[in-house]
Amino acid sequence: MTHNLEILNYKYMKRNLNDSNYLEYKPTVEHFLETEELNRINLNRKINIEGLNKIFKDAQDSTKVKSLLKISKEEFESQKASFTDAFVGLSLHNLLRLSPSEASRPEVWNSLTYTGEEVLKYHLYRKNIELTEENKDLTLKDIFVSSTMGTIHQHNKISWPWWVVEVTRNGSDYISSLDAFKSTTYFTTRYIQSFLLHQRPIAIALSQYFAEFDKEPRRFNKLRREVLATKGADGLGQYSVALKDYFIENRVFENIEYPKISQEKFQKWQESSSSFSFKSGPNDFEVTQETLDKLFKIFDDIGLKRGWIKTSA
Amino acid sequence: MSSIKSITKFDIFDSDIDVNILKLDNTKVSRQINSSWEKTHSQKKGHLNKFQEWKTVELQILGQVDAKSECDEAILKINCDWTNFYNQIKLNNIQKNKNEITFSTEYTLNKNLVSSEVTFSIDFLNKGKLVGESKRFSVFVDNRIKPDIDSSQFTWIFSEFDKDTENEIPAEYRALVQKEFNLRGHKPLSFFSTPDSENKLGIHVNLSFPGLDENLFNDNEHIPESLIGLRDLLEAYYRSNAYMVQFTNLTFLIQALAQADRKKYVEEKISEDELENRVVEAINNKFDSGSIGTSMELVNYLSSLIFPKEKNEKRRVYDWWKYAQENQQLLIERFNLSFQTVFNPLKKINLEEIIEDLMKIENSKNSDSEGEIIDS
Repeated sequence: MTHNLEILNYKYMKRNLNDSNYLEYKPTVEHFLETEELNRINLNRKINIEGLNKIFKDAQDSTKVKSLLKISKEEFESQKASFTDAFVGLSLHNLLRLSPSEASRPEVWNSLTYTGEEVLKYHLYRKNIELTEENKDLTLKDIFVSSTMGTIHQHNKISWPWWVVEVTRNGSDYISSLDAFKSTTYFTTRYIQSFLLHQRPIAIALSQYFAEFDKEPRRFNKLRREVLATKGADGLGQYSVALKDYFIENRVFENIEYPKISQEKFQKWQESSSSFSFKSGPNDFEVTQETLDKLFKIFDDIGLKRGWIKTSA
Repeated sequence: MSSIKSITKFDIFDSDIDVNILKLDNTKVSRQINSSWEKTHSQKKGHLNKFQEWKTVELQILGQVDAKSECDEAILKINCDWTNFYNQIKLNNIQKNKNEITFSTEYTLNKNLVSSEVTFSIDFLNKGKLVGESKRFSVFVDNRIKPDIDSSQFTWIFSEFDKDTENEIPAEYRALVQKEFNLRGHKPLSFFSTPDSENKLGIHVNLSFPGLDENLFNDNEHIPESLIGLRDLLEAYYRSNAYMVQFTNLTFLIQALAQADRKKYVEEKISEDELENRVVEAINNKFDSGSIGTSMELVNYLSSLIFPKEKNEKRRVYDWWKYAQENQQLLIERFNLSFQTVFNPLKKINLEEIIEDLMKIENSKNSDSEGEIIDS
């Protein structure tokens, strides 16, 4: 038997929760949205949440995180926050099987937060994960997803990793999503709302490109963090700005092959369930290796224009 | 579809886009649905949110460009910011006549992939070179408020300015609003708080103002058709002011940067090209910190509104700084016009319809009173 998510009334929460009462809030039946309201906001599908608490409990256990992501202790320690986000994003993507339309609703994420005690505990854990000084308390702002795009896509610590996974998965293949998280939280937070990441081929290619960027033998005389976060010699600011400029200027978008998305396959996936594996995503499209290779070449060329120097082939 | 006038400025020809509704959930649409859809055609808007539950919609997309452009390829771009959805497809069917070239395709949009506003636009190419860019056609698929950059740029805060309890106007602004501006017989409609490193620009709506209701702006509320015009006008007021505050706030920040470099330029120690590089670098450094309220992305975006004809992003940012030093008045003159390129009043405020509705109400009142027997 499955356990489905009850969707809470956004307006009630928005009006009544504040920093002094949000931790004590216990949703009751009166706060659940009725069918008619759910239809209106396209949230009428039953969303299975069996195992939700376990996901958030396991996310606070480094052994579980390393095991699911198949990463070493050293790798985990080097980017604790990013890999914890990866664990949450990938696990939620596999469990909830949300469509982008459903995931764009703040109601989904606010309802999840109040579904099990582990979710709130996780919010607190995530807030303090890399703090070396005194721990910080949660505030309502940390957990409540308001109806703005930035909060849903970029700021909330459970909705945002889901979106990272969604925009960077290559059909059923979640490896490129893990690559996105490997490319640091700078990449997953700063690039996620960029128009470039709306475009699946570019999002996947960028994730793979930066996940490998610092690997030995290094191909360029630059480190990933320098490339992502600092300006280049072309005066165009950060790499994301240069990329956008180059893509628009050279009309690159028109030469990229965009995959056809199969809704039938996506819905079939939504209606099924399975434990997580790196191939358990929806098989609704595929960006070919040929397309990705073309994009890698473009990324290299832009780098060279920005003053990177090749150190190996 | 409207006729096309050739502009030929910069070899860009005027063009047009049209989106027609064919089927909802694989069923041909009724005349009633079609006529409802056609209502907002001229404003390049389509309201799927008016129709009850549907899962897929089949649309016909038409693109027209002046025949002089010799366009040989048209690319349709579909975008939804709320769901990070983007797709582009080539329009295949081509018809030519003496005056124009028409491209068309049919496209099925699945509601699972989108929310709020989905935009359709077409790039027209001749041997790979851009010869025309259509306007955007916006399709609204549900009742969420329009997802302009506004929604990531601003926070709407509804509070009763007259009260001093928590959750009403924040304590830090209370003295200003309730004491300094407590002018007899006056009541503000709004207050705008400038963004700091963590907050976005706040649009504070005064719920103490008689008649103002939060539900009017709530995307989850079905507001009566007759109030939509009023809502749109109020929204224009709030957003216009918010933009003015945003432009001004950023101008203050930008203006103060690179002053040592400016001095060097005035003393002819560096060239203008060098100055431009240094200024843009200083602005990048200032705004690259990624704070929510004032990111470099926002500066770039707003610069494209202030200088809409300048295609070079770096130059636009430099021009903003330069005007802020020497020609503030010319910069200020651009602000309100810039806002209106985002909040396209022609698309968003159907003044004729609002007036027509009000006149109907007025006429029905008059005809009612004509039937009354007045005791003399």
